[in-house]
Amino acid sequence: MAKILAVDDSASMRGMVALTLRTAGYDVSEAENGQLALDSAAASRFDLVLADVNMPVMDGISMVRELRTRPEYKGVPILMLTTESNTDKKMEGKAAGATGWLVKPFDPEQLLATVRRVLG
Amino acid sequence: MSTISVAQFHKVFFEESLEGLDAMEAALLALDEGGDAELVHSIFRAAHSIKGGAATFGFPEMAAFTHEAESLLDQVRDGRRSIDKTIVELMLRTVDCLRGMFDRAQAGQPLADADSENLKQQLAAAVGHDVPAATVKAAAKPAASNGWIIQFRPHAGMLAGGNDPLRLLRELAALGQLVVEAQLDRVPTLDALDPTECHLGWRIELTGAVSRDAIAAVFEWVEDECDLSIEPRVAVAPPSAPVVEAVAAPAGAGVTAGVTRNTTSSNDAGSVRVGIDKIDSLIDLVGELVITQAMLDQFREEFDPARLSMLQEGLAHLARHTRTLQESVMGIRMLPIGSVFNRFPRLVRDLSQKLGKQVKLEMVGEHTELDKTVLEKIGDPLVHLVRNAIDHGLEMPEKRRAAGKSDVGTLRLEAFHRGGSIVVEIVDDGAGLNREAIIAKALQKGLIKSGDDISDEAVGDLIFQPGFSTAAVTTDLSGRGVGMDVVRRNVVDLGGNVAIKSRAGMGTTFTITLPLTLAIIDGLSAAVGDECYIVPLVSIVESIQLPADAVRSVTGGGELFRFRGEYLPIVRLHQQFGCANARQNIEDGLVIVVEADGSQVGLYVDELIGQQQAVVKSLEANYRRVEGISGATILADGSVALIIDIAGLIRLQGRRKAA
Amino acid sequence: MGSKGKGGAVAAGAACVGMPADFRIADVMDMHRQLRDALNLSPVVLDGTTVDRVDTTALQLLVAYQRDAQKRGHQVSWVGVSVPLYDAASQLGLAQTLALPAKPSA
Repeated sequence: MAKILAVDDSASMRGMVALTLRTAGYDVSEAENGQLALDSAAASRFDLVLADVNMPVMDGISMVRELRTRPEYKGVPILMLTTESNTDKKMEGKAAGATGWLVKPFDPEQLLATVRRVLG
Repeated sequence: MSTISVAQFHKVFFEESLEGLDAMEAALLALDEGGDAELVHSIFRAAHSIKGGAATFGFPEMAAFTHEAESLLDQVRDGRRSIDKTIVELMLRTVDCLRGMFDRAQAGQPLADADSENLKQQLAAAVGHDVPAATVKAAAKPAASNGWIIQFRPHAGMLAGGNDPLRLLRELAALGQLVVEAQLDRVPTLDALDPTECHLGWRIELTGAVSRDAIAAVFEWVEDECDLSIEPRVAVAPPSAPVVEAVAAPAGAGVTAGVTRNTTSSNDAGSVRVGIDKIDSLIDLVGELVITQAMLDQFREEFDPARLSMLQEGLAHLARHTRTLQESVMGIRMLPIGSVFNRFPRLVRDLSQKLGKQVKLEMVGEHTELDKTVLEKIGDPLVHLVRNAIDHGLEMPEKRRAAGKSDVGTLRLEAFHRGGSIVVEIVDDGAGLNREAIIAKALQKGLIKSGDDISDEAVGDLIFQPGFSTAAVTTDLSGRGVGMDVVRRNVVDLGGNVAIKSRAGMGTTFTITLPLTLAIIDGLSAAVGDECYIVPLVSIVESIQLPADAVRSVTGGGELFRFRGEYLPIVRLHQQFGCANARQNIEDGLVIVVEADGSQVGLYVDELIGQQQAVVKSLEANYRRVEGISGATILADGSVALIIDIAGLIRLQGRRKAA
Repeated sequence: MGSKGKGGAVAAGAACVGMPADFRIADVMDMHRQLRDALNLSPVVLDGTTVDRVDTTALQLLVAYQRDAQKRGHQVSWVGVSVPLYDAASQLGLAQTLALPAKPSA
């Protein structure tokens, strides 16, 4: 069972992501900002990280940059949950080390399709 | 495919968004006084989250509206535009407009209205583009071919970023038949190789009726991390064969269909967010109770008098824990008054600008906690008092200067505990009550007969009389048909009271005293026949025993008695509520003088039983509404006692008199 | 260890290089070190039978090793490969380059 970390400061968004993935059988952990996500990622190793871009305390871009400096997170897929208006955010996320992105709004089916695509 | 309804997240989305709007408003106001970049970021984040959530949870109109606001904020954030009054104003209106949208969303009504559309256009104009009428995406005719040659050479860092060519090639293989040729020419020697970097390349022949877009979608995430060329193997005319689309849904594909919005509306029983620490302390307490229970359980089988002290100790534990448990459970309903105070910076700013006054708002004790119900109902009275203080209390700058005061008036909101109550003070350093104007007005309205010998206290009390207003010109601020009498009534309905203190030229202080909770009241229990009634302690003026000749019958069936120089009606509770076996003669029972809304009556009861705290149970929820009764409580012996609604009873009495 | 792989008879005394079940980028440094050490040995047999998860870095590493070993005239053969390893190599067009034995029946 693949382990997924869902990072978003919005409880509704995080809840939707977590419930969708749990229902599909994934082992999901949640974090409400980049800093807490880094703590979780140190405590256990995830197969996929889904992260919002704009968050208080530590944003998603800084989180990715930090995560990629850890050897165990080399090559681990990290997807940014971003919005269409933020084309440059996609690129900023990529430059920081993100694997790709999922554009908000997405529905549970789109989320699952993308996660399955990344996790194979 | 799983069917997860996003509607179940609406409630959380509404809650967090409304909190986000509060934060946004506070940040905008702070920005108005010259703030830093972090404020702009937090405003942007709030708007951004709302937009994302709105789009995800099925509110496209809200998403489109917020998108414009976000674009404008993005320009500010990037430094492409500097923040000015116009933008702050526009954003404050945006906050208001979004609040309205959330109200309508919760009520299941259409979100957009003329105002929101208008504001959206203004935001778009500020951003510098027009809102497209309706985004009809031209159905892009995908170039197609019966096959493609793909040259794919990842940059060295692609693997570390989580994009594995293996995955990409598998996705391509899902589109059609592949012939893959690996290019090894750039792979360095084993010694020189950094194994986490990618030095392979591929030439891929894809056979099948696949659109270029479908292939490009596979490489969407790695466009800038590889050298890529996609060329048709044999150029052909647009195919008649159906076009295979990418596995992954393209970006921005429509919003979830079939979201039923009504499911979450109408059933809002109200909820409280509780801090984990409060829950933990409750769990601890219940643990203690379980231990005590086990200790006392030992006495069930047999009682050894030698262990009396142990039993006493156990009972003492039980009493202490029960009390603490009660306090903790009450604590769950307690919320900081800051959530009400939060609306005032905006209100004060708008009002003072409108009136040309300069006001400094000070807020103290925002963390003071109040019962949720009290909190919800105290907002309007406070707003009224704050409006009043700015409108009538604080003077125009020139007038203040003439009086030797600073141009800037001070308005202080302060909340604190005093005894078993919460006190909220609204203090201004304005002109104070205009004694002459109030007396003149009261004379004109017939509220008093003579203007002589009226104490300052009595003058202050006059402004709480129904229909009283001293504003020389009724401004649109205070002149909303709501007077100070309504403020007092609202506060009294909450079991509290309002007092006013004023010094000419120095300012005015309104003091609101509120009970800590509505769930428990201090009451006096009284026997009436076979029944027991609870009279709220706050309403009681005095209890007296009357001789038979002190009561006068009046035509129409009423009874009056003289109390402190006034004639008050007597309400016989046994008649009012139909109790059997009650005492009939005035001299055999007691009269409790009670007061509400400025009127007094005497309640005739058999006798007083004692003072006690009563946990209020709703009668409406368990039975139905009864006039003159505010609720019920359970007595120590398990029987039920009704709690008297003094104000309701007095209104009932007034109607009877009028009839 | 002396078992026969499809890659042909394994010479007695050949050094055997095993591979981890999770043979992906995060753990590739360790294999890099092992294969660099193996460059000094001949003959070498590779055991890919236990590989469960594999990515492009793993296959690229094997490509670089085999090419360098061949340059030195060393003998490299396979004990065997797992299905995931075989599938990944053929998807990337590397099955022949790596001289993989036939795909085992799963």
